[in-house]
Amino acid sequence: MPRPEHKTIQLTIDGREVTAREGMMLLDAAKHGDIEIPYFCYQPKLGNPVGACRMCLVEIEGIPKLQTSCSTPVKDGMVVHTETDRVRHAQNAIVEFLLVNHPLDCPVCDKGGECPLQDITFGWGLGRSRFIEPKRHFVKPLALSPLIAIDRERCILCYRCVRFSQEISEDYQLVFAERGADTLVATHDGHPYVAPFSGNIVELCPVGALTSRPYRFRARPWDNEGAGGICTLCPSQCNVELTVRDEKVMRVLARDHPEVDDGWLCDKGRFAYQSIHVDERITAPLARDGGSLREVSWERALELAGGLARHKGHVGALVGGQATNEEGFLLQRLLREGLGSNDIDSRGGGPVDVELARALAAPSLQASVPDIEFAHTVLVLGCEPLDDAPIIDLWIRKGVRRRGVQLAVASSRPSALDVNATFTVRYPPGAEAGFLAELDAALAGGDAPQDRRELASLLREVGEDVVILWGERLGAQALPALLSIAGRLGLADRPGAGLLEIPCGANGRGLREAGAVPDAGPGYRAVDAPGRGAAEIAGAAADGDVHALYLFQTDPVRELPDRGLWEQALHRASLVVAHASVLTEGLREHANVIFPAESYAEKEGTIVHPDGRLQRLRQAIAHPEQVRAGWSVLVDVARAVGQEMDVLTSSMAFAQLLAAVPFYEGLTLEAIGGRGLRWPAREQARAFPGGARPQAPGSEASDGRDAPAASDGQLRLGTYRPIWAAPEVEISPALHFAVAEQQLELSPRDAARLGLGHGETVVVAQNGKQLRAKAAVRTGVPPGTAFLAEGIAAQSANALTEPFVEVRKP
Amino acid sequence: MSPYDPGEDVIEVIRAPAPGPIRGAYRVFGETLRGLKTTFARIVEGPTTIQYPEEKTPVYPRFRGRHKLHRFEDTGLEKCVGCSLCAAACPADCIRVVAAENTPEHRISAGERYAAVYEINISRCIFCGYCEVACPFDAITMGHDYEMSDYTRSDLIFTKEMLLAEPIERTPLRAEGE
Amino acid sequence: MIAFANVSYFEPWWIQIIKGLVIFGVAFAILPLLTIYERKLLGRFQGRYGPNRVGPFGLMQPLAEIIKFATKEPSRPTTSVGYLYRIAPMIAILTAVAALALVPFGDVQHIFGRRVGLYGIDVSIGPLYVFAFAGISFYGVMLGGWASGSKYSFLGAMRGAAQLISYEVSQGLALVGVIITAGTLSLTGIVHAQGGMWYFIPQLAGFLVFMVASFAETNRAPFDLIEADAELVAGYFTEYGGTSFVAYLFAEYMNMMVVSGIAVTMFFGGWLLPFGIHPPGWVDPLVVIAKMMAFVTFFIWVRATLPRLRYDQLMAFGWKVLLPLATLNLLVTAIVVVS
Repeated sequence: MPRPEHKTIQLTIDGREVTAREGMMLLDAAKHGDIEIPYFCYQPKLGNPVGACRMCLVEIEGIPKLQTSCSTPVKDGMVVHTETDRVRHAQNAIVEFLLVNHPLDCPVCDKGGECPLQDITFGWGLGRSRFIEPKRHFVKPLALSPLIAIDRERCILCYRCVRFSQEISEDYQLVFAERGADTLVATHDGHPYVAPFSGNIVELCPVGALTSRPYRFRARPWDNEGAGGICTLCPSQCNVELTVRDEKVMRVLARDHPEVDDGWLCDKGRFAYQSIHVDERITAPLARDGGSLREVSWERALELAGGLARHKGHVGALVGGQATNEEGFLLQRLLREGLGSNDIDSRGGGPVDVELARALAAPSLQASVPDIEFAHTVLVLGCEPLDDAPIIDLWIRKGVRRRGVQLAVASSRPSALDVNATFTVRYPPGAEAGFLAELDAALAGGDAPQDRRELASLLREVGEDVVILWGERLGAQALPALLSIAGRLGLADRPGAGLLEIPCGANGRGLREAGAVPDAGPGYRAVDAPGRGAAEIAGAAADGDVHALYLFQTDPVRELPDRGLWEQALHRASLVVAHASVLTEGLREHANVIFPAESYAEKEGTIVHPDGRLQRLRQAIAHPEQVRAGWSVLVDVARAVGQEMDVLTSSMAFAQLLAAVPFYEGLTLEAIGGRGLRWPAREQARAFPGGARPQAPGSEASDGRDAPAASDGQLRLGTYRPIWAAPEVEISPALHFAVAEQQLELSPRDAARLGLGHGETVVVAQNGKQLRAKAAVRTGVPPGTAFLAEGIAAQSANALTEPFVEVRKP
Repeated sequence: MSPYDPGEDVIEVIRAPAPGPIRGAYRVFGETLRGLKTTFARIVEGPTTIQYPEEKTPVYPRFRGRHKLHRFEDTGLEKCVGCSLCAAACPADCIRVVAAENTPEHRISAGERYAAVYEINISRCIFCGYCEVACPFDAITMGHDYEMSDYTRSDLIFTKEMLLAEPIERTPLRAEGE
Repeated sequence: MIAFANVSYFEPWWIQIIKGLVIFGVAFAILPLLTIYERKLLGRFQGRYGPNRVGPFGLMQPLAEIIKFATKEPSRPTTSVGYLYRIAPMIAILTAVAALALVPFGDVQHIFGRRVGLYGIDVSIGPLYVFAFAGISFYGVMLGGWASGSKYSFLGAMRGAAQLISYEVSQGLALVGVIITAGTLSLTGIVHAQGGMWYFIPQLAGFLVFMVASFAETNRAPFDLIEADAELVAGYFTEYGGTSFVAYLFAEYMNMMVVSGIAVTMFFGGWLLPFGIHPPGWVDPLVVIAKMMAFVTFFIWVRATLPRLRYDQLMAFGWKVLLPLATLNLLVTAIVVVS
């Protein structure tokens, strides 16, 4: 639904004239009028108010009884009193009642010091209690999940956590068990509450009933400093507040950005901060010495990296998604200017023709994240938001639940959003291009299969605000058809409609704009001689045409398809220079020099959100041990190969980036600030190469070829990257239980045919390569297809290169 | 006319009336004798010095000296639960508490949490006693010891073990009415 | 008047030298003891112990301090006048010792079959000799203060000059009464003249004037304006350190001994004992030293008691009270003696 329009009205609260939006709750209106009403259960992010805690009672003239201000919409001319004796008496009584069972163990409670119940008891409580009866007792603390501890004695039954589980993340796990005085928060069957967004209930809990186990007893609010940052573990780029104590990140809280994350965080973002302070992290430069990696001095490491100069013209570079724009920009300068090579790539989805890339990134075609909430229709295309950008998943759920968004899911793998979708269509893995060509044809009124036509009519008929959320993993072949579909739906013409790409890397969009692609310089500027993309670099390195590799916060053996080829490439390369914070497999075996990389809590720089929002990373903690800033290491490496970057600070690198990218013109770090700035919405976006509107590329879209048919007994293989597939997750102690293991998702029919049960170990084989996986039988999986996880530490699917696999029992 | 005219800055000096010859002589010799008597009385009285390292100045019962952490007498568990309220109350910011969780096998304090690290930077402490006031479990009190000097600053950061231990020498208490 | 007293015996040169060495040695052995004595006594007067940490009862304190001073690096201000700066403390200490030579510690004794006077020298102009050296010792102060090239030293020296000149007059006049009474200028003669009655009884006024003036002459409290540490840091020896400083310090104590010795000789009968007691000759020096120590104790007692005078009070007291009193005493004595 399009964004609603609001009228403003006037009301009187405590004799003060307050202006409010119509339909607003009285409590919010009072807050806007600078009048404080205490509350526990109210939280607008959780949807409709429930009035469970009764703390926000106020007196409204004309209504005989006290009303809960959190669930009373404002009306014009309303007269409200919040400080009368009746209200005060009610507030005192509510606090007294809440404390009937609430234990007074504030000194041991982690919430102490930042507890609304403490504050409200102090501010609105009577200070004493008439209850001498024993309080109710539970075993405490209990582990609600490996991440969350529950203390039921402290619970005031405000419903917030249950509402989150039921209405926001929609995992439906948390419920109120029992009734009356025995009510308690629990999962249905006593199972641990494991869900991708479970950590949010810790932040929602207004008392210390739900606390974070990794943060348990770590610090007190007055020990801490808050430092705003951006989580760069996925493209959602949620705004976070890092709680810092003694130069260590103690926990991660949401820094509510209503246009990026809506105040939620996934558990990866909330708990993988532990990877910053573990022993596994690389904190000193390493160099290969006789087969094993050893710590060396920075001087020595830079000297070794200076050996890149011997391979001028034969150096390939890969940039990982966590790199900032500045780092991507400096690295492409190093490659192009210092080492005379255009072989640099940051894309995880294969090469895209530069004109096509420009057309898809055209500013007028870009949807913003809140557009998802207010669109008529959202099409999720070839991606799984829960895995690729978890917060987008919550945005879609919010749009569907509260705004009546029509959701269509078109993917090869069953999606978590299927149940919310109005229309779901499956296509075989590898057939994305064909599917989109058919959909394009259906939109043009041509001949197409039935479900394509139905999807086309849904996109056409519900409304003009259509947001297509597509993943970079869709593959380059499908993109011309996607552009054509966008053109047919007129997405470039409407402000609330557009495309929203989920890149593979967290800062995938920013790195492309900074020029970390082989065929375009900063700002999609054309380059004279386009270089090789990632896959070609692998081939060339394996053939010996690329002698040296520069891996910036990425391990291609782990991250990119065709693991065998990459292993060969790294093995053949005579010099592999890497920036890394975790020693992943490819680096451990093949890197010659490893510089310790910064975590996102230490970085200073800018990144670009998938919707074009430039966001700023600020340094929250000091660099541990010998870690140095990525940009400065790049500058030092450049100096070692004889190139002067003329960069002394991170902001100087940003200034160079600004000068190189025409559509960033006029931006400043101050203007980006803590909330970011969407460049496609700026006037200067017209400087985008090819103009603000997408230009159809000269080259004709390749015909969607059908995926080849499966031979006997084989299953068509699709891959996906689980939310937990990140080295940071693997080294975070709290998330050990969640580390992704390989599992083979297959349909019940195939499972029955192969005689496999759920949870059994199976062997997946292809061309003599074998993987072990656990069988996961899912009803949504189309028969004849199987899905394996990639990007995980062990048994990763990127070893497999062919579209079909053979599955058998071990 | 003097080169510097003090003008209105001149302040009248009021002097006592000049003594006559008798009174003057008395002031010279008589008062001097009185003074000599006073000083001589000090010899008779004897020194009041407390020979510090050998003898210690007794303190009043509410003297705020070196902090002490306490254990429960019956169970031997630490009273401190590591709530950090002392650190919050400390105006000199000299207390650092890092809490940790008790386990049934490794029980340190009576509550769920205990202070894994409890440090007081004595060189910063102003001995105001707010930590004692803030403590909800009477786990920290101000003791009577005042001998805390040391040669290095790092030695002046008192750890939990040091604060839990009984002081090596007892500081004498001042008796009633003394 | 003749230059030397008529002693009717002759001392060979080597005895003179031995006497000189003994006086010098004893004086220098006593001085450190005097410092610890003063500090301990001062402590008692103030209700404390005084130094009691070095050695038994703190008796080694002076030794420790001598070592400390002796090992100090010699230094002088760039504005000082080199040779004068170095000579000044020597003048101070030499004049003090020279004056001590005059104090008679006993009558003439028979040692090694010779008649030996238990004193450095017995001159027939005893008091004049004392005043002469007291006058020269002022150069020690004055030169030291001026040659230091520092304003505090200079101020201290100037105060010292004015103070010494003012009080020397009264001191001299006070002694003239005794000389008139005794009829001799020889100090041994004066002692012998007190066989009947110690002069502090007939010459009480003279004695009081002499004592007050002596405090000023020795720069002791309450007349220590010359080194008034509250205003002038340390007065004339502000810039001195190490052994030079010790020289000034010792000179001050030596002056105190000299003044005590003169007072004993002039007013308290030297080596004589009251009530007709006549001990053997070797006791005489002990008697004199005991009497001197009593005066030294009094000096310390007064230092512990009286606050420092203001400068104008000091001058007014010297000229308006002491001088008339001394003159009156002299006149009365003269009249009594003549009549």
